Amino acid sequence: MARDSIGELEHLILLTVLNLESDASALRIRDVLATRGGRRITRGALYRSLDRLGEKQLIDWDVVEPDESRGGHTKRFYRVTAAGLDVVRERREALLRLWAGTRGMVGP
Amino acid sequence: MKPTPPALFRKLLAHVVPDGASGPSVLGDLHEEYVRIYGSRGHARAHLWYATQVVMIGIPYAAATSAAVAQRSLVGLGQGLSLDLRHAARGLRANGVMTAVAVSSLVVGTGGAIASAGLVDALWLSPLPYPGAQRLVDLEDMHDQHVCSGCSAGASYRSFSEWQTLDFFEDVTAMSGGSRTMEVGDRSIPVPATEVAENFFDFMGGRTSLGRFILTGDAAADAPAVVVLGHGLWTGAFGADSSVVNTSIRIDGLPHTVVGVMGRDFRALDRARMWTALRDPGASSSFDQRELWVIARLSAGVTTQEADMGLRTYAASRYSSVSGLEPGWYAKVESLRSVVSDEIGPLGMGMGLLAATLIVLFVACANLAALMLARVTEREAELGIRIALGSNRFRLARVAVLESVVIAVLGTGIGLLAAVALTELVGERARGAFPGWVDLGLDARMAAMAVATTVGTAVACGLLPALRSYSVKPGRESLHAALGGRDRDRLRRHDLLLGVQVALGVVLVGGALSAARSVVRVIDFDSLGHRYAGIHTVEIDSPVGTHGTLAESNELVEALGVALGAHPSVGGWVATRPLFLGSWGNADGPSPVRTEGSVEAVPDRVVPRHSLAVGAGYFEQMEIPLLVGRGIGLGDRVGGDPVAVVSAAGARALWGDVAPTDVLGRGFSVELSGGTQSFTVVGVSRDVVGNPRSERRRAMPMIYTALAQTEPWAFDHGPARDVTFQLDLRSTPPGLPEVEAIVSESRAGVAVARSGSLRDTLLLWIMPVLIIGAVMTALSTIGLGLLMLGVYGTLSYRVARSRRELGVRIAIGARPVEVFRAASHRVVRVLAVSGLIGIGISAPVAHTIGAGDIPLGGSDPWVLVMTATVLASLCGLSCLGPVRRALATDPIESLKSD
Repeated sequence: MARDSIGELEHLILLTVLNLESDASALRIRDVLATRGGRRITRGALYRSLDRLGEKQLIDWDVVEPDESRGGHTKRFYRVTAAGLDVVRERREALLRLWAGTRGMVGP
Repeated sequence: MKPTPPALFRKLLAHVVPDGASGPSVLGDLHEEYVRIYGSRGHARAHLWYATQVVMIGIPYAAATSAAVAQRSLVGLGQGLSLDLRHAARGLRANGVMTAVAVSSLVVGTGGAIASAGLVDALWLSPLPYPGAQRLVDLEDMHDQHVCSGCSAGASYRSFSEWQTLDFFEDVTAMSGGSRTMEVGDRSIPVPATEVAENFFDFMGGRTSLGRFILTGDAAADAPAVVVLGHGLWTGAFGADSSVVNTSIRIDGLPHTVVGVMGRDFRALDRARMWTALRDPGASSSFDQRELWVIARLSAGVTTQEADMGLRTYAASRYSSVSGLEPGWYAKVESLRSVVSDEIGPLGMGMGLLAATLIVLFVACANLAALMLARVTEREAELGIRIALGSNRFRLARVAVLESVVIAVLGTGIGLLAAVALTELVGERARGAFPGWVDLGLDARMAAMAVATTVGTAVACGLLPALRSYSVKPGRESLHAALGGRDRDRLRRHDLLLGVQVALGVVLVGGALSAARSVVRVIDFDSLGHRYAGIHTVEIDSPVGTHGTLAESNELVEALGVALGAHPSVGGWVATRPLFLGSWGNADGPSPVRTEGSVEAVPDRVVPRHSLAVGAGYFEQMEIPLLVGRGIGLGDRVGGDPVAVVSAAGARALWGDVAPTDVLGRGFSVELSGGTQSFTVVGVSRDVVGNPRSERRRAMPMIYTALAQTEPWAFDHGPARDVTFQLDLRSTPPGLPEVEAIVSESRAGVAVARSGSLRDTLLLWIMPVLIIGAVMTALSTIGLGLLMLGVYGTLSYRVARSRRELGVRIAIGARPVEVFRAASHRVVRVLAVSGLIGIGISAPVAHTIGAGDIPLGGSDPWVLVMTATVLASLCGLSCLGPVRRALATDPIESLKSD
C-alpha cells in the first residue's frame, strides 16, 4: 500500500495518536479528535480507519490483557510507526509549501 | 446485577468485525462505555446505545466486506474463462453425436415454434397496425329479427354522421368496399377499391408516398372525383411512375384525378388497392341504406362495454323516433380486432395452433433436458474423480454451464435464423390470401419467449452437473457414482421426461392427423357433386348490374359468351349468376321466396339461400345429373314461362319430404323490392356440396333459375354485378390478357374480375384450411422428429449404461429376445403408458383446434388408431439402432472395459 495514499481522516488520526503519546486508545483518540480537532466521527469510521492505517503499517499497537471491566476483551493502545512519522512529515512539508504559496490571501 | 451488553448485538458485532482487525478491542471499548452508561442512565438506555453503536460500527465493516467479496468473485469469474470455454467446446466436440442432436433439437424446435407463433400472433393476437389499436371498435346496426347473430348489417351514412358526435367515440370513420373497373391504357382491370370518409386516412394513421390522400371537401356532392392509389397498384399498374399524380384516369367509366399514392407501409383493413371519396348523400339518405362499414376509436377511459351500452341505448331511441323505419333496430359496438380476426378463423383455431407450437417447444426442451441429463450422468463419475484429485468446484461447474450455453446459443441462433427465413418465405407466398392488415412477420415478443424458454432450459440443464459438482463428495461417493450407484434415480428422471414427450407427441400427432384428414377431405373436389376438371371460369363485373333490363342483361351475356366460346380452346360455355335468396335476417324470419299456394314466405332458415341463375346447358356441362324432369335449355328465354330446376335438398327445403316426381310443375315466387317473379319447377337435380371448405360435404339446397328469364333486380341481394362464364375447355385456356382482350373487344368497359380454372377457384376458397393444415403438419413433423430423437437418445443411453449387465446376460446364455427385453422393457413400458395418457388428452385438444367453420381437428377412432400406429411405428424405428447395438454386445469386451 502506498504511504501517501492516506486520506484526510487518516492524517488527522495519525496526528491525534502522536498527540496522545502512550494513552492512544480508540476511545481517547475519538475524544481528542472531537475536542482538539473539531472532528466528530462515528465509531465505525474510527475503527475502519485504524484498521486501514494498521494495514498500511503506519500505526502499530500494544495490547493490554483482558480484564473484567472490559467484559473479558483486550484493549489496544496505538502508536505511530516510523513509516507513519515519515508520512506525517511529508504531509506537513507539502502543506507548508502550499500555505507559503497562498501569500497571506487566506490569513496569516 | 452485573451489566451485560445485549448478547444478540454483541454476537452480531463479533461476526461483522473480522478477527484480524480491531475486533476484540472494539468489543472491549464498547463494553467499557456500556458499563459507564449503564451506571449513569440505566439498563434500557445502555442497551439502546449499545445496539445503535453496533449498527454504526457494523455498516462500514459490512460494506467493506461486501466490496471485497464482490471483487474476489468478479476476479474469480473472469479467471480462466476462455480456457473453460475451450474446455467446454472440446467436451462438446468429443460428444459430437450428443451435441449435434441437442443443437438440431433446438434448431427445429425454436425455429418451428417461432415461425408458427408469429403466424398465430399476426392473425389473432397482435394489435392492429393503426394508432390507438386497443381502442378501435366496429359499429353497426342490428335487428334481432332481421339480422342473424354474427352477421353484419352495416350502417347508413346518416347513422355514421350522427355517431361522430357521440362523446364515447374519439373519432369515427366509414368506408364501403367493392370492386371498381379501372382503365389503364386500352385495358380495363377490376381493382378492389374502397370509398372512404374524408377523415379515413387520418384515422388509420396513413401516410402518402406521393401527393395527398382524401381530405375534407372531396366528399362534397359537387367535388371533382379523386382517387388515391395503393402502393402495390401504383408500382404494378403504373410502373411506379410519379407523374401519375394529378393526372386523370377512368374508373367505372368516369374520370378521376389521382391525388396521391399511399406509402408502402400502409395496411388496409380490407383488400382495397385504391380509395375514392365516400360521397355525402345529403339529407335525402335513409337510415335503411346500410352500405357502410363504420369503425371508431373509443374516447380515453371508455370501455367497449360502456360504449356498446351507450350506443345501443342511443340508437334504439333515435331509430324509434324515425318515421317509416321498422321498429326493433338498434346499434352495437364490438372490438374491431375480434371482428376482423373472425374473418380469418375462430380464435379457438389460433389457440389450437399456439398450443401445438408450445407443445413442439416443450418437446424440444424435454428432448434437450433428456440429453443433458444423460451427459450429467456421464460426467458425474468424472466430476467425483476430478474433485477427489483437487479440482476447483467452481471451474468444473462453470465448464458444465458453458457447455449448455454453447448448445443453447448455437441451437436458438440457427433456429431463429431458420424462423426468419421461413416467415419471409411463407409471408411472401401467402400475402394475397389475407387482408391487408395481416403482417406475416416475425414477432419479437414470441421470438423472445421461445428463445428465453429454450436457452433457459439448456442453461438449467447445464446447472445440474454444475450443482452436482458442488455436492459430490470426494472419496466414497465419487466411487459410488463412478460405479453407477445412482442409476435408479437417473432412470426415473429419464422416464418422466420421455413420458411427457410421448404424451405431448400423441396430442400433436392426433391434431395433425385430424388436420391432414380434413385437408384430404376438403381437397377431394370429386365429392363436390359437380364437374370441376377442364372448366375455366371467367368472372366479369356486369355493367348491367341490377338496374338494367332483362334484354340488356341477356344481350351482354350472349355477346360475351359467344366471344369467349369462339376461342379455339373452348368447346362450350355457360353463364351463371349468384342468386341470393336469403333475407339477411333472423333464421326464423321470412325469406323472399314463397311457394305456390302458400300464404307465408319460406322461412329464412330453410330457404336455399345461395342459389344460382344458370344458362342453357348448365347441368350437362357441369355434369350434375337430373333425377327427374329436364335442365335449363335454349328454349327457356324471355317471353316464355320462367322455369327453374331445384336440387333434391332444395325440393325438400321448399316442399318438405316429397318425391322428386311430385315436385315437377310446382311453382314458387321471388318477391323483392324490385318486383315479384314466379318460376315453375321443370326438373330436380342431384345434390351438390355448397361449401368446399367443409369436410362434412353437406348437400346444399339449391334453386337454379333460368338466367335468361331471371330479372336483374332479383340479384339485388347478392354480389349484384358478378357474372361468371364457365368455359368447357378442349385445350390450353387463354391467359388473362387474352381473355381481357376478347371481353373488351366484345363489349368495351367490361372488366374481367378473375380468369382461371375452377380448380384454382376452389383451391383459393379452401386456402385458409390448407395453410393452417400445412402449419399443423409442419409442427407435428417437427414434434415427431424430436420425439424420435428423444426415444433414440434415451434408449441409446440405457443400452450404453446396461452394457455390463447385457454382457453378463449374454455370457450366461441369454437368448436375443431376453436381451431385447432387458434392454428396452422399461422404455417400452413408459412409451405404452404415456401413449395411452396422450390419447386420453388428445381428444379435447383436437376439439379445440377444430372449433368453428374450418374443419381442423375433431377426434374419431380413425384418428386414434392412426395416431397409435404412427407413434408405435416411429418409436419402433427409433429403437432399432440401440436394440441392434444391445444384441451385438460382446460380453468379453463389455466386461473387460468395465
